Amino acid sequence: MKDRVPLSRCQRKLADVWLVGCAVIFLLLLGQSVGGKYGSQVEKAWSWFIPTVLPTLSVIVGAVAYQARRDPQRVTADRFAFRMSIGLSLFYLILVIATMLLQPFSRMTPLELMAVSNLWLGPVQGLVGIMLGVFFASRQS
Amino acid sequence: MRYIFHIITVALFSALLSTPSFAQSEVLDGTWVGMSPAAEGLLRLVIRGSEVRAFWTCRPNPCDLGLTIGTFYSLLPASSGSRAFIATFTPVFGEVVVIVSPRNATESQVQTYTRYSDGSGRADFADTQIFIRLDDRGSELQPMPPFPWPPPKWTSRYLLPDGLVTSGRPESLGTFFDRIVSVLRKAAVEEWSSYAIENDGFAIVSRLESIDDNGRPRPGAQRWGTRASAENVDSLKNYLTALFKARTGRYRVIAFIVTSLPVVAGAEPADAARMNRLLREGATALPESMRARVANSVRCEALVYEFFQASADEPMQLVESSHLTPTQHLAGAGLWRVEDLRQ
Repeated sequence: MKDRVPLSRCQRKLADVWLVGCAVIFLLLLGQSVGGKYGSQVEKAWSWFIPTVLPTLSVIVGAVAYQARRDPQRVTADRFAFRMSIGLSLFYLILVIATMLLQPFSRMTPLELMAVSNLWLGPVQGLVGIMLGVFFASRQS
Repeated sequence: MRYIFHIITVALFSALLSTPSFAQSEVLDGTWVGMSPAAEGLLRLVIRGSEVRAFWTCRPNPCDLGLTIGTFYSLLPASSGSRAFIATFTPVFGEVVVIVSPRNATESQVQTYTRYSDGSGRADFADTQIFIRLDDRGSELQPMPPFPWPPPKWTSRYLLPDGLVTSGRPESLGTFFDRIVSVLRKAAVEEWSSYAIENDGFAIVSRLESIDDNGRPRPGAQRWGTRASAENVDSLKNYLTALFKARTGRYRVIAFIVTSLPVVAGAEPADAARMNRLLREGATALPESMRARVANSVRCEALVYEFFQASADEPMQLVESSHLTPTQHLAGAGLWRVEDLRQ
């Protein structure tokens, strides 16, 4: 029982991490769009944002909404899977934010950097997805 | 006995050097131009040995009929020493037979027989002109590339007053060219390309340079860079500006047009890629034949092509109406002082 944690609490923590991270990225991109950073290429910048965070965020928010209608205290999840999920999520979101914040130091244009960033964001996003799958599969009543 | 050998050797060499095969190609080598250019027909011949390239009247730029091999014929009686050189060109419109009969070292009679087979309905014709030889001895087998005429649409233009490039007196095109090049060098512009403008003048296109909003070149290597360099982020304010604002770019190309033809903009606006191609595809200097040509009533106009890049991810666009005047551009580039330009 020691290695089990209440699922609802884990999901809330994961949702908190992802909502805060996405809000930061969203506000950064909004500020850049309003500031004219991307000129007439704003759509391309937002096209990068959507697949970068939205799929994982949707899964987590959907899971929290689903769980809210059930008895939350009885369902538990694997502690290790939760820790890995939250650790990888934090790492991924920091990586996305760092990509945006470090652009002024790069010789690449903003959209070039966004395109190239898929090289390092893609694999980590894949790992986050796998770990979240393990975490949700570890639920027990 | 040794002296007799020397005399015989010298005599043999002299005889060898005076053979007709050596003399006949030598007598026509060079660039030949018509004294009274025809409305339609042959404009120029560039002969080296038995190779000949011909240029034909076309609008807006002369057409190159291509390179062909001609044949020398001795005219009877052979003792007269007179010869003719005959070459046949097969351009897209038909066939052109050119017969060159040298009169002396610098003048030839050139007969042209033109047959049209392109279905255009034009009548075949024969033409006789006197051509004179320019002094570059066949160095123009690669023809001077033509400047696109009419020139691409520009941002602004300025007719340079006499005394800067032209003087109002008849001078050679080479003199005008040297004046422009000297001014470019003084302004630290190390790259340019020159082009022929029809049979009349030339154009010099400077390299695309990055400028600030006042028309002054950006400092150091940024002047010639179009690729974004890392932003200036030496303070928090600069960093935040770089993070949220677009990095805009302003660029310019100056084309100097020396011609007596009216300079009217073409329909197509210039784009930066085309201006870069112009820099790569032109010649750095004028051929001797063009340099020596004396021009009576040419003017020098500076055409300014200004480009603006709204963000690092967007292409440069031609500025159709700039807040910068042409004199601000020319003075900003360091070519002349404003007071010299407004004299």
